[in-house]
Amino acid sequence: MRTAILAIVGALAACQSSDVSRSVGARCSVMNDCDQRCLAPSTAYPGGFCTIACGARTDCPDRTTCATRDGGGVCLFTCTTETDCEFLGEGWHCLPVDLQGGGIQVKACAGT
Amino acid sequence: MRRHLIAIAACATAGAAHAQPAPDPAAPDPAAPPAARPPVATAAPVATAAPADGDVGDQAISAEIGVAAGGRVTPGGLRIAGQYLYQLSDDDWFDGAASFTFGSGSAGCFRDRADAVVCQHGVADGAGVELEATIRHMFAPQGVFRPFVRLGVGLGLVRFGNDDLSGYTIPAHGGGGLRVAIAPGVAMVAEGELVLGLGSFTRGIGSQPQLGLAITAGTEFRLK
Repeated sequence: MRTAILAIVGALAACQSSDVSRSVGARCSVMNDCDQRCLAPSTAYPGGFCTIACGARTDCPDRTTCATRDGGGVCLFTCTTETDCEFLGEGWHCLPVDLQGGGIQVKACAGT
Repeated sequence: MRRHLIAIAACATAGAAHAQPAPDPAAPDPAAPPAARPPVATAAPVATAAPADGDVGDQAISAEIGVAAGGRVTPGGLRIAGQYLYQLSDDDWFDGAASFTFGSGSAGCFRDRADAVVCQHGVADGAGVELEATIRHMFAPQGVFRPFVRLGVGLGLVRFGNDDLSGYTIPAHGGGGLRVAIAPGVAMVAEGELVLGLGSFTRGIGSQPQLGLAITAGTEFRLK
């Protein structure tokens, strides 16, 4: 009995958690994989990238910014160095991107 | 706990056996030789005490409705349950229940960057059906009120349709409530319970913990 309780508590402690979500960051290949939009797998988004449309930085969740990509604003993870993008997998880099509506460039994680 | 589990198993195997009051330790052993038995006057009919109006009775059924809160891979939403009570002793009843949970169909699973499926459903997502075997221990009545606690296990199936995710669960149930006698053989019951257990799921998720909370209320009818 005690072993079972410990196993359950241990399993709860190891609950699934992730740096990404269906909103921003999950892998995807079709729109149904995401809450709103899937940037299909390509060299620009290796493995695919779930994101949401945005008009300004404030439209994006924590740790993300609104970049002008693919004909509109999409939320991408912010970064300062290459290591900040490693959690997204191979092919992702910390690159300068146009801030949507800001007229400036910021650094965000993208493939190309 | 082990005694309760044994009681459940005994009840399940007893089949149609009728519930009897707890044996009186002072009563003579029916297996003892006749010489050891006290003299019996006659074979007079035995009077069976009818349950008082507010009593649960030997057997009862109830229907309850309420809400369940889940999350991740535990379904939540509207909870509907039907229960069958069978008296085991003066204060304990076997409480068998079938419960249904109806939540939203919102998708909550995604593939993380390591390509593993992660599910983070809301508190009122998914659907489930479960059979529970619990022991209800009733405390002493206080007027028409009679508090109780309930403890046991269940076996359930859960489904998150928009994610094409299914699984079976083995949760433990623990909770308590209040029974209020409102008419002869009829009572209102309100209870809350915590659900804690494990489930095995499709889509490569494997074993995941179950954690939920349910609050329900309904009506209980005495059968015998």
